[in-house]
Amino acid sequence: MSDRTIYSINYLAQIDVTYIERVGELSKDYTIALVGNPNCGKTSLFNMLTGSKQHVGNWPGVTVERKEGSTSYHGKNIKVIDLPGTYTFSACSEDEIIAVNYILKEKPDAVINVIDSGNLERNLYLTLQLLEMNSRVVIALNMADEAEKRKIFIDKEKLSEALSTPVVPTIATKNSGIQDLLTMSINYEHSAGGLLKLDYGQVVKGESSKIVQVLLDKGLAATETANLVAIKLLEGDQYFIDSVKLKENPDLNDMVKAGRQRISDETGFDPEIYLADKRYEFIVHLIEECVHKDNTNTDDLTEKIDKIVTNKWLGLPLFFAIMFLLYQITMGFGNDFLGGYVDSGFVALGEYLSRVMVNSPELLRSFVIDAMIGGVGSVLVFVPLMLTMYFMISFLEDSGYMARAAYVMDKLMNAVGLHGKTAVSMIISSGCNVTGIMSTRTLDTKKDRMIGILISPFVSCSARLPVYALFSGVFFGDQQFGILTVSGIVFFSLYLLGIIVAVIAGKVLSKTLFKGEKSYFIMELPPYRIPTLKSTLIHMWEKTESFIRKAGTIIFGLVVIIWLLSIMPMGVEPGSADSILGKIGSIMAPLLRPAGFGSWEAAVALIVGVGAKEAIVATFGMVYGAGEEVQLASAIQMYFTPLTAYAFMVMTLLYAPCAASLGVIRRETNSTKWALFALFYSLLIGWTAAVLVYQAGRLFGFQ
Amino acid sequence: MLINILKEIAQSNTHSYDSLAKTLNLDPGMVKQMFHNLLKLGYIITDDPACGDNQCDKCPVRCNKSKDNKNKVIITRWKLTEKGKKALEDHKTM
Repeated sequence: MSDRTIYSINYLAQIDVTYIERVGELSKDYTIALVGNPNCGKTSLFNMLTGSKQHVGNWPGVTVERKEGSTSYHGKNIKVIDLPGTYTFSACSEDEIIAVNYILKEKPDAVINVIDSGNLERNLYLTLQLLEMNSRVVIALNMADEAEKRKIFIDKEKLSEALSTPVVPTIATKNSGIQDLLTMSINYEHSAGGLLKLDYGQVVKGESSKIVQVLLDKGLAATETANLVAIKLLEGDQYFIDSVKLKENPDLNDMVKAGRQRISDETGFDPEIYLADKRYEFIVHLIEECVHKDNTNTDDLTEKIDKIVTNKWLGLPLFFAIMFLLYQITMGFGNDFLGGYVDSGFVALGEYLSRVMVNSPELLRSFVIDAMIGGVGSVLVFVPLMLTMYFMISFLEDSGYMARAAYVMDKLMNAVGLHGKTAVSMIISSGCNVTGIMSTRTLDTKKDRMIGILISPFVSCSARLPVYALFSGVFFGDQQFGILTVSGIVFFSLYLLGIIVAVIAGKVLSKTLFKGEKSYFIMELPPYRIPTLKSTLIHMWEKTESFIRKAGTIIFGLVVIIWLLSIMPMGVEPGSADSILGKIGSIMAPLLRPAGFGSWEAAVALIVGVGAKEAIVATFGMVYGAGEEVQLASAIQMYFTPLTAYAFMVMTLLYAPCAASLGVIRRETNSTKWALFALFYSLLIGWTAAVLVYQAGRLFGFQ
Repeated sequence: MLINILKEIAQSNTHSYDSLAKTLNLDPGMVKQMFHNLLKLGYIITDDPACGDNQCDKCPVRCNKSKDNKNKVIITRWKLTEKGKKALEDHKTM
């Protein structure tokens, strides 16, 4: 034994490892394989070991990258193979099969298991599997400095003793410990019987020893790997089942089946779960013995916030409180304050164009003033509102809160017996119903998907906001409730109503047309972070731009059609009840009388709103001939009262999915019948709700 | 240990590796490893949203499908497979 050891002789004796100076014995092809979890610093170590002497190719038959290099040790050439990063050796993926194949079949002279010192618990599972393969393993306890910074202290000697293999601390990025690692990888030798033997319990021991005997008798495994193969067969590992051709050996197959059954019977677990659990138990014990973490304050900020934000009792009220505040700011600052400037701009533009076009043909003047300024312009005045709301929404999204909202809503949905995943669809629907409907693709059964699809359109999306903003601004804009704006409260009540109706509808559908089933999923939520101003502004603009683009395309198109219908037949007073538009509206208007807004203009606006909800405001702007919001506000006040305005907003919220949503429902359900069902059942719900609001309001003496 | 993770998923009791690790008195890194192992063994699968292309800019739940790599909020959804459900049922009946 040489005394040129990096560890004390006592230590090596303790772990049953002997240091032998091998330089003279090294063959030309001495090979070291690097194995480890992804992101453990394996590539840095490989680069440090091999420097520029690298060759990159592919493993035979697959597209997985094969990295090979060389280093020298006392003048001898050492081949270094960087095996693909993997968490386990269950040989399910190409990466794992390559790694297992290489270690078991190519038999490298030594294996360096690179471990991220800061994530020891996660990395050790692979280590145990590696040690079970009876390979000559040296553990590189990499990123040791990072672990120390995080106050994780590892007793490497104890760890080494427990694993019966050398452990060398390294910092690959700083070239620290690399030479020691290389020296140990080449020169250590296990004493006989010094290898790690995991205790899987009596039942596994008994079954595996029977299988080992058969494997050896039939020459299906070598002595040093027979125990590993037996364990893997009991674990049902397909790689080893294939490698021993289990199906062609009926007696062995029967023995494995019986062994698996016995393990299940005696332990109550599937063998694969039981055996994996034993490894985890060993790791937990190992960590207790060898690792000390100075984590007196274990709760990080995310956990502290989540304790409140996702709390069983506080989570939902907090979510609604945040949305309430969001709508308060949206209305108070976005609409009333910022919106005023855009209003003034459109007033000035309308007046200017009226003056400039005073001698223009009547038709062109009507198109520009009524359709362009009155129609599209009445939608665009809500851009400041959208900017304000999207700024706050983007902030919540970027911070990670909206993911928590989905989680909190999931709890609510489960509590009322609905599939939790419909909650995610509902949260997504608050951005856009189309996206929400499409997100139901993740639901497992057709029944769950149908419920998700049919309730998503009830959630208040951003397209409805201009309607709320117009009506609540006109009728409730100057009212305060303490420090709160009443228009903000109205906004929030509609948002809440949408969710309540969606939940009730889901419950009814699950009890009648579709039976729901228990949710089997969890969400892994990311840590909170402080969003950057740049990112929040970018997301705010992306959403607002989409609104503006829609105003310039779909809404403009709809407005042109309405305008044409409002001036036809030729000679009729534009926008009057005698126009085609007026006649269509007049047919529908009586149906809306019980809800308090039985004018042909309201009927037309709702019909056009099926095309796009924002177009409701554009239609009012056009049919009332209003060039900007002040005129539109005056016109609306002539036809609506606060009560009928609220009933109209309820109708807008619930009455029908927009054309894009209906198209997606038809595509997702592959059925026109279901798209029509979604249209008519929501029409019925919307109409009923609006009538209830109006009639109940009158009963209570509201106007 | 693994069966407890299956139980927690079945009951939708948790929303992060960290909170699950605390519940089970384990290290979060080990819990992640266990999820990976359960996935490999076929007891659970990830359940990514499939909302289609060009929808992310309208979606408030910036998930792992999001094209906005820099600012995305990664949500991984896990669910039990039939094998996972059966393992849980078999264990309950023991």
